[in-house]
Amino acid sequence: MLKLAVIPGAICGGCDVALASVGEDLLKLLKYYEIVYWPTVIDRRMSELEDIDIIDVLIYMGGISTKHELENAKKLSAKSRIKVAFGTCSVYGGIPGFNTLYSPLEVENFIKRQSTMHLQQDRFGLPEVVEYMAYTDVIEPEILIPGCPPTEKVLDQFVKILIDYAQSRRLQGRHILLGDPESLCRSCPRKPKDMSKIVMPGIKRLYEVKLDETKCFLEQGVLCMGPATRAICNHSCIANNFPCYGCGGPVEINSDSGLAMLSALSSLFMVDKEKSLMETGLARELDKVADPIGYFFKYTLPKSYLSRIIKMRKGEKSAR
Amino acid sequence: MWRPRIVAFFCKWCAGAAAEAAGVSRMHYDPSVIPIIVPCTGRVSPEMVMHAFLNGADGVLIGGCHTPNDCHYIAGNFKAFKRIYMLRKLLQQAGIEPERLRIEWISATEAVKLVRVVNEFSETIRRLGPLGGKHA
Repeated sequence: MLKLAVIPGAICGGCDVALASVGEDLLKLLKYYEIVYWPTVIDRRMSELEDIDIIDVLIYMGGISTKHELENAKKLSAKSRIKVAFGTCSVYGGIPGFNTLYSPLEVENFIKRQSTMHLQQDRFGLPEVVEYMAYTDVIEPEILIPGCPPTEKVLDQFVKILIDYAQSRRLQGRHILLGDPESLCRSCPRKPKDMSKIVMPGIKRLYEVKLDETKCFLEQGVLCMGPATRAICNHSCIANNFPCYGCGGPVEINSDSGLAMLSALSSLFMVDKEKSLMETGLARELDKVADPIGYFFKYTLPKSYLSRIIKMRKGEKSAR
Repeated sequence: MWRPRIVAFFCKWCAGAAAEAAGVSRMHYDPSVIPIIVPCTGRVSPEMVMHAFLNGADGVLIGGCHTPNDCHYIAGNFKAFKRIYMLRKLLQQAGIEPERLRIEWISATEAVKLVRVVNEFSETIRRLGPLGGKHA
């Protein structure tokens, strides 16, 4: 029997539920794997896990925001054969990645200000906050599963890989990024006939427009991260008339989906009217993207060029 | 003494030709600018600009053809304008001075304007100080 451990870091719980909802396929896994730690599902202690010498598959969920999580991630990964970054937080940083805009001290003060009396009196003590990072910033995992939470499509791939590994004790390639290596637009059900002729008629918020359920979001002026996002899902948001928010992260592991989307937006935005609008208000139309960091980097900020520049900048300021 | 380092992306047809003209006519301009000639400013992707900042550039200047009708590829300069405008907004939101990124329209004959823009820009960057990238 191979040993499988699921370690939660800074998670909201969605990934846990997603993995548990694999359902009957999990039972197939139990033929080959013994679950040694998974707080949501089985009753085992951390101390028992520490006694185990080698973990065969370690699934890490969520990012790293406290010192305890950082030490835990390092210690347990060191004795693991296959490390899996599960969910967008552990692969790219996810939504808590906005923490990288602030220093750990600012974050800690914010928590103290916002929380209940007990914390303010420090009766229980707060865990020590470190600079927020993704699991992939600390460890190089063998398997990367993006998604917030990972969808059926990638979970099926994942279960297949796990069973395959249990049988052959070998992985097909290093640093496997699950999902299809193409952007979400390629297989989009709303894809227009000629993708090169998409024109974005200004930027509209969701409440300002009555959406045509068969037409591309961008053609209706609604921002959709599809062009810059890896195809990790079966378009569940788009099929339910909601634009993609980019939880799958960039198409290739080292690219920057926020900048890619910014670039795509510039190529599509009012291309038919740009000549006449240039002098009078192209910039004003672009200003309707009210929160560029919040929109373009919702899930990938810690891994982006921007966050690296911000960090570099902080270093320069403290050196002076 | 610290000297600013500026990466300039000039389009081959307008600003690049102007830089050439400035050189041929023996005009002096600030040596902190490293010009890179690209086919069109529409080719300058946001990654290229951010990569420059990360690798030691304190400012990035982009020189393209005048709008609305000068672009050799018809509409590349509009795309560049939109990209740089959004990038500046992004930088500002992240607390980095947007003045470090500038786009300017310079035609092939405007060597004088190129010299003025380059000098102005390096003066701005001198005032803002280093960004903190690795200086080789």
